[in-house]
Amino acid sequence: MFIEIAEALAQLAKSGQFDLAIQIAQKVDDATMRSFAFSGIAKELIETKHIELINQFLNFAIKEAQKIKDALMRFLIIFNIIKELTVTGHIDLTNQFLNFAIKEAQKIEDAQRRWEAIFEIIKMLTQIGQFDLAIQIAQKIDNPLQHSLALSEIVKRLAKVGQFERAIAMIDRAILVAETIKVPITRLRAFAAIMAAKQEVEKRSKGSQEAK
Amino acid sequence: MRCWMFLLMALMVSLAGAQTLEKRIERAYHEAIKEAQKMKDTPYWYSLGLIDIAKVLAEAGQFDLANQTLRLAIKEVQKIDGPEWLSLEHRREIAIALAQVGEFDLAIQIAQKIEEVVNRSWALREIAKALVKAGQIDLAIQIAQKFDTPWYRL
Repeated sequence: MFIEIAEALAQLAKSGQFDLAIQIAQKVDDATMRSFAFSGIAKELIETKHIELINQFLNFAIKEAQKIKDALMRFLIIFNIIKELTVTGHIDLTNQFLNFAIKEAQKIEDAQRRWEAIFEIIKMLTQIGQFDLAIQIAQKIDNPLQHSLALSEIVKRLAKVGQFERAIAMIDRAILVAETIKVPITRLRAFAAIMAAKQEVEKRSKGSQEAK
Repeated sequence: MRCWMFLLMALMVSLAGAQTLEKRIERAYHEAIKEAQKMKDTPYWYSLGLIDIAKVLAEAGQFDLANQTLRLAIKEVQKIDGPEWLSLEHRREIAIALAQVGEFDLAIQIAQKIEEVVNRSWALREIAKALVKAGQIDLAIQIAQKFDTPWYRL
């Protein structure tokens, strides 16, 4: 039902009836639904390229999202918007809202869900070339398996953009982290992910050299 | 060429000290096997442990070691006492993992012996996917046609 309402409101906004769309969205009792409606409108508006308008609705959505009690839900709503922004190339807006998403992800109580959220953020950061921030976030991960998985993901993306030397440095760092894992199968899992990343570096660097 | 050689050498030398990543994987593998062997009295759990190890090795591209571990798992699965359904998951996962390391004949053979229809189709579907990945499209199509549950063909 959330989606249908958001779509209906987005249609209103698209047809220029922004005030009416906002009025109706504000009448919705539930904060999650309100936030979802605003983010839905923003999402629908992405194709119109009205940056100011998209920004305005995203800000409405974030304001409403902050009223949601559940951190996971808050994160999911914001992250879905950011994903759409990234795909459509709105990097400035993505950066602006990513900080909010990072803070929200860190508030998620369930450890597994928190890790999944942070991993998604790291993947997104690397997609938009924000490697420094991605590494910074990865370094804060306490769990060594998750830490090395995050670094391995960063390595793969670094290789993809041709930053081979930095990728190699990250492999070293990931190995050191993985080496601290006591449980053998878990350590093996971490090394396997690092190996897959290393193979990606080798493949890409070879490919890049051949292309030259 | 020189640049690529340099990177390759950097990759080999850099790996945090003298020990290579391959060596570290091997060491972790032996330790993991040792841990799994603690469950040797219970083939159900021991074989599950072995399958898990093999899957991780396959992910790391260590196909020989993965294959070796899977063959050990097959032996252990045969020791599981009880009805067929008790080892369904094991046999399905072994078949899938064998396909991932390129052992297609054995994978198909094990999958086809699974009596239960959903798990058999599941295994065959994953084998077909691995065959496509390996460029063996004709064989993948043949396998796909053997699915008993039509939606698995999609």
